[in-house]
Amino acid sequence: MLGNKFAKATAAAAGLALTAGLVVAPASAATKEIVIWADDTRGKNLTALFAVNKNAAPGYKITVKAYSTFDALKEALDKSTAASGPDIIYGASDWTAANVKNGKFAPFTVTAAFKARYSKTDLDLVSRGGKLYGVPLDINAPALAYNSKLVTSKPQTFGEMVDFYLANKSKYDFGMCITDGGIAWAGHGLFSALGGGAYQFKNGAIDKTSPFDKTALTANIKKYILDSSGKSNGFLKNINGGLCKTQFAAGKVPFAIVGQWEISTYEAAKVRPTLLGVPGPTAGTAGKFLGGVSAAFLTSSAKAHGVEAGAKSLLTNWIGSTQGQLKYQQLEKRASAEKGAAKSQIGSWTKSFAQALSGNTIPEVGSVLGNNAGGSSYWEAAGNFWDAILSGKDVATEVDKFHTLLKKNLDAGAKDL
Amino acid sequence: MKKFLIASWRHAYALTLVLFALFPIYLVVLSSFNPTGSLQIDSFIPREFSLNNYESLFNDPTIPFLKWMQNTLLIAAASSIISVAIGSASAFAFSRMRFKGKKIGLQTLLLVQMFPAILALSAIYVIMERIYTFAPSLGLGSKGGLLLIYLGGAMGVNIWLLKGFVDSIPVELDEAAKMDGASPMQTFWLIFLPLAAPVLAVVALLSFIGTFNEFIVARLFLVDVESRTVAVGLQQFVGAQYGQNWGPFAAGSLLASIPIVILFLWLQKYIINGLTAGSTKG
Amino acid sequence: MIYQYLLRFTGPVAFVAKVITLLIVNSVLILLTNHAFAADQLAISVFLIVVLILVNYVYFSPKYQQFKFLLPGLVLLAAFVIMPILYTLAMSTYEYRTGNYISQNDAIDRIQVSGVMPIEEGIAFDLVLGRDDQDRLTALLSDSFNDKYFISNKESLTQLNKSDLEFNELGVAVAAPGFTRIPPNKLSEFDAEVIETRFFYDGDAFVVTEGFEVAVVAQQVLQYEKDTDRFVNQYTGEAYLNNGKGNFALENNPETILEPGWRTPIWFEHYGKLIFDERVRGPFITVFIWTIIFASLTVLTTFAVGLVLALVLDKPLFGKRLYRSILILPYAIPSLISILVWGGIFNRDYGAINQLLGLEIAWFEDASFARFAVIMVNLWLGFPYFYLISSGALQAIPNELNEAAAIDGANGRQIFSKITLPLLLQILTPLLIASFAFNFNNFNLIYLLTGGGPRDESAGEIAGATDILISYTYNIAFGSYIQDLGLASAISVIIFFIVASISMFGIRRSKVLEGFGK
Repeated sequence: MLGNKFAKATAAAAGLALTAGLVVAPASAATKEIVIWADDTRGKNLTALFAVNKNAAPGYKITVKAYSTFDALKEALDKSTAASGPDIIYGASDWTAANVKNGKFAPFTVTAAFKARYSKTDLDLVSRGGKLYGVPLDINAPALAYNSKLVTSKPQTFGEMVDFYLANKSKYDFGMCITDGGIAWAGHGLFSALGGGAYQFKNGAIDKTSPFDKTALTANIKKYILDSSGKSNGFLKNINGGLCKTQFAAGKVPFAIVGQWEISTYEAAKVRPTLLGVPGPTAGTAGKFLGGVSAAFLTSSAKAHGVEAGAKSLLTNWIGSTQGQLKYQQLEKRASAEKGAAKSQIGSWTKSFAQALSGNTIPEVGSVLGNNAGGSSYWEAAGNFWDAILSGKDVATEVDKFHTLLKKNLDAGAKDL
Repeated sequence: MKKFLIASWRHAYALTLVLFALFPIYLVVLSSFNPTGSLQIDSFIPREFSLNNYESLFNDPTIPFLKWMQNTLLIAAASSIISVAIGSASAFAFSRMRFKGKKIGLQTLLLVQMFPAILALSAIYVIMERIYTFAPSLGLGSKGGLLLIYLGGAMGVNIWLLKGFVDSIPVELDEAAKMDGASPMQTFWLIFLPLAAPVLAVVALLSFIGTFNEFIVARLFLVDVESRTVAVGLQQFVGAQYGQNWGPFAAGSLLASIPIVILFLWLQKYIINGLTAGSTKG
Repeated sequence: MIYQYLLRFTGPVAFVAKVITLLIVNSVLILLTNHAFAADQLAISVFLIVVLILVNYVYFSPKYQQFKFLLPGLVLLAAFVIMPILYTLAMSTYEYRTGNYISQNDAIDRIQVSGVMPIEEGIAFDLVLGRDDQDRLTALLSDSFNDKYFISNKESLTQLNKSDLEFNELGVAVAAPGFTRIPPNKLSEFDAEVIETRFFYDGDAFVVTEGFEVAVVAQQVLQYEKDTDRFVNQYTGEAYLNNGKGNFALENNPETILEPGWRTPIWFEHYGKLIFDERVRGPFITVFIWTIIFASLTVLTTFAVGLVLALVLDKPLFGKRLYRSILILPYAIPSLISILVWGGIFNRDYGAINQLLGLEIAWFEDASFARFAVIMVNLWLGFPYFYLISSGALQAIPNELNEAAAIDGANGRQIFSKITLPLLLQILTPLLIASFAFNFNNFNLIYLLTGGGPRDESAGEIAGATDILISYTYNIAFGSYIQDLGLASAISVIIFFIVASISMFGIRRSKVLEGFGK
């Protein structure tokens, strides 16, 4: 009955469609496209950056994809394969190790003249096994600031800051906080000023023997952070960064560890932050901040997409050039990693930032900081350590525990340099 | 007197829960009018009032909120309507037709939706990447691809939910149609669909809200600021790398929730019936 | 009446509509298959062909009526649910983690690329690309510093006389006899060719391009040997052997491996670790126990609060409708929003709870407080649902039962505990179990509220106090440092078996109820 008719009709329909399908051959992409991934903030600036120089990569279309958050960007990179990944990605220097191990980043060679325009430390942060994987862009480190309306003379020692706070305790909510970057990263300068550290740097290399001196750290914490009963003396507070920023701008906190990108907040609030490294227990010593760089990395997708030569040219000729870096810094407002661009750094804020940081940073070595051989990494554990200290737990025990963990991570991480 | 005591006890219980239910909602309203962009409160009565946060949603080019709403509406509506259409057909077959393997089919369906889909993300990413190589508008990074993923994910739940509803529709109606010589397809179109319309609307609404809440996959697919969904955009305000921005978050949350809440209140009778139909008829 | 309706949906009109719809579906499917085939996506094209055949068979044959209803759903399920599950199963038998992420072929490819090293003298040229008179890709190389100029193709290198050349303002040679320059904006068309080409230099050494403007002299230091499946350093003779665990390891020092590695099958090692390795098993069991507690407590609290509310509002009460409208708000507001807001409310520094109560509790930094907060928030999210279904179920209980009991002299409390509650429980058991299963995998709540924390990380804990199995798995698979997709997949499979058994128990219970409903 009807079934047979249907069957015949199908055969006809299918045949017709089949020919239709065969005629329409898949179209192939005509113009070559270099795809760049970044997070939301950088993405906006990059679109502007490439709009300035239309000839940055002649013959290629440059497409910037900006992910909603830094986490989303990293997650997308993790999940992507050579086929779907970006050709160039703007990320942090501590991404280098893991992505080289996973075969996601691709190496490239630059001339001696190019290398000379960057510091060796910064290039090392984006290199692995002697190969370069990215172009360093901006120095990513915080600095200590004091509100010069409240604090009249520059503190020379950690003790002076604490004494200032204790003497004026009633006026302030607390003495010091961190506006952004968290107590692990931005707080490293403070940690280091008190004698601690995720690792020490000696003669240009990581000291593999011990992350820090336990006795010194224990003594300094007891002396400066706690009162005689072993509770927090109120000087340091580990609070939400946004709140710290508001409090510091409102003059309720005299000292804060601040980021370069916050200048507009303080200008608006008319506070005059003066920048410096975190002074140590004795005059002339200072804590070391972790200095990372953000970088533009070449990925192995570029080869898979047939745009590797173009991507390499773009990285060395525009992104890594003095001109390109200068333009990028104007948009991104952070101290440049490129020497030429750093020299003509605009704005006194960025200049004083560079001054405060000079000599007061150690390279942010991802394979040690992110190593979790001891069970968790420095990034994850530092918050716990400070919370334990500030909530009045036994200092010696906590310091010991933290030291053991960091030592394990250091041992394992040092093999992975 | 006793009656009065019981009534006031009942009011007390209900009122406590009302306070509990309204507490975070009130906070969101409060901070949406708070110019400082924090979720801080020191009193229940607002001291400052400004429409800054709402203005930024409509005027700030970096927060294309209307576009986000549009994207969400499009994707969530398409996904809920198509998934309910396909799901109700399957539910109808499982509920009304006799065939070999029905029981095993139903149990498999139930089991596969128990699989923790988080890890499947990697697999789905690989599949989508492959689709992208020959059909970019259905693959990775496209609205079409995201829609396909949502449809696949919604299938199991929706078929089960809808089967409960179909079971609760008296079987006598379609038996009458059968007697009149109707095929199952005709019964489905002409008897079942009109009867089930309100219930389908409820399932579509629940599925809409489910899609609205999804951001883990969406933020990997809809990357550009113009193409994001509300969920991705809202999560971005409070999960950003530098600091949290509660003001626009609160304003955006309110604006995005209002249509859903209105629909919910409007359909509440059906929702209650629907949920219970599913329960009492297992 | 009904029959008349039916008339409209049969006959020639319906037939034509059907054929046209199928024609469209067929064309789309064939087009996609064709494209997939052209793009070398064999598996997908086979899948599409199977779908194509099934569609035509099912909708044109009078047999298998049920599949006319089931097919679209089944196709979607197969592609986006079943396939990923099978993939996860496969992943769980692999060493698949940071450092062992890509396929072996890709890994060999990458090592081969990074095995190209610039020669020690570090010779670099300014590069101009073009074609020679035989249309071969040719590099015009300028070493302005030493004032030497070459032309090179795959086979040979020729030094040129400066006088034969033309230079640009930077002193780079741009034109030479027999050399046709490729215009800069056309170079993109030859990108892949440029990357692949090794221009001849001297013996083992060759010239490779680094972008379109620079070229360096390099050597292939690490070379893959296919027959023996190993990499050999061409100059020191050191051999890196396939260690069977997804890496090439130095012969005399297996600790030294080449990067990247590749994912490699290790069969049931992950499952073995979950059972026998205390470091893996320990946190797994802790998290498992908390997951059970969390899901049970959530069901219990939401059900209790919702049920009492249903009882309270079951009988007429002033403002009942208003109460109901307000009390279902938490269910209506998208949970993503509510969870994020609650996260802010519990914040130690500016959270409303601490502010209002004058407390200074770090809610998410203390295990007990964090767990309490998680349960509280979930209560807020969940009680309206149980209120709605309990009140529906209360109405489904025949009134005669209560009346009969009242006539027998039972008081209100007795009626409730002996009749209403058992009946309610019987009706709602499947939903209670469904709710348990849902909360067992309630990823969004944990991920957005506490991120699984707090973790005592300085003591080396991997699992956080509020981590449930699924957030714990997510962390292992996509966390910050080492991402272990293999182990995470194995855990997913185990979670699946647990949740599946719970649900099967639920199904069996609901079967008992089938008689009651009808």
